[in-house]
Amino acid sequence: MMTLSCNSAILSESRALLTGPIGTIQNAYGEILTLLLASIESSSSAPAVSLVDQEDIAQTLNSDSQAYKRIMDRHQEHVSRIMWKFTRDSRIHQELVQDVFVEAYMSLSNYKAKAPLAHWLARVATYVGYGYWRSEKKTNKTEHFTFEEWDQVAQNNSASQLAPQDAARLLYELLAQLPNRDRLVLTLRYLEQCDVQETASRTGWSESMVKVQSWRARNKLKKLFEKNGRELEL
Amino acid sequence: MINKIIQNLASQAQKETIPQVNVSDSVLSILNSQPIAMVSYKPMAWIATAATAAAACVAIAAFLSLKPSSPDVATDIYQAISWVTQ
Repeated sequence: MMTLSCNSAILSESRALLTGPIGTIQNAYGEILTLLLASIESSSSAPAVSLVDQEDIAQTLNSDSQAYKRIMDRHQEHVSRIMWKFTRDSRIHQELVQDVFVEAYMSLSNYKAKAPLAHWLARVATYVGYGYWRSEKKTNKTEHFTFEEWDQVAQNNSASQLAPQDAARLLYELLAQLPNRDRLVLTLRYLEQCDVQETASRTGWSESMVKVQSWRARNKLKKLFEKNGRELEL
Repeated sequence: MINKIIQNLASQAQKETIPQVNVSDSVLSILNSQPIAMVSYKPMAWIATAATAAAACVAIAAFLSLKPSSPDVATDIYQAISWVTQ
């Protein structure tokens, strides 16, 4: 941030010199500098890493474990909320949150501070959660889902009246019937309420891939319903 | 657009209370039990590059020491080429 403001000052002075009253070339340079200043200002107003996080990250990288404890205390609720979308077993949930912070510590030297720490942790959490689903598939563990329960909700149009934990569980179990990539994109888009850009950031996919994957996942969901003698309007 | 029921379920799900966890102490005990807590890959890449360069130098030195010395390298090369083209 200091570097950006120094450059801004230098460029402002340069602009003042070059956009003097003499000649159109000087005006052209002035235009270029205006654009450059605008790009610097827009990048300096991008979400920054908080000072507290910056200090604790620096101290953690200097092997201060209490600094990392402070980071965990600040961010574990956020990470916990994300990991609850990947499992509804309390014991496994705690293990996954633990795994996220162990993984984050191991990768902390790779954190470039281009986005807030919470965003980076969300990405680590997504990788850990997705890895957990893949290991679940290998052991053939499946989540229980009944279309009868879905039918009750659909017939009574009672989705918005369900208790939050029942709504979350039903949706979680429904999405668990899909292949992992489809499950992931719909979990991020609907359970996590991520837009396309954030989904791309969390998964490492391009935005166009997120859109394609979302479309495919919705179609697979539709086919799942049709296979069970139901229709799902999309 | 996704189905309206799914959207309503997702909206309700946002209000869910998440189980409380506190993993700080368990994470720290895991990290303290590991001999190398943080691995930075850049120094390892440099080490790998240096090792490769050293191995290449040793291979060139071995080749040069085994090859019989010749007073006229150009003649040797010409003879090798003409032998191949015959």
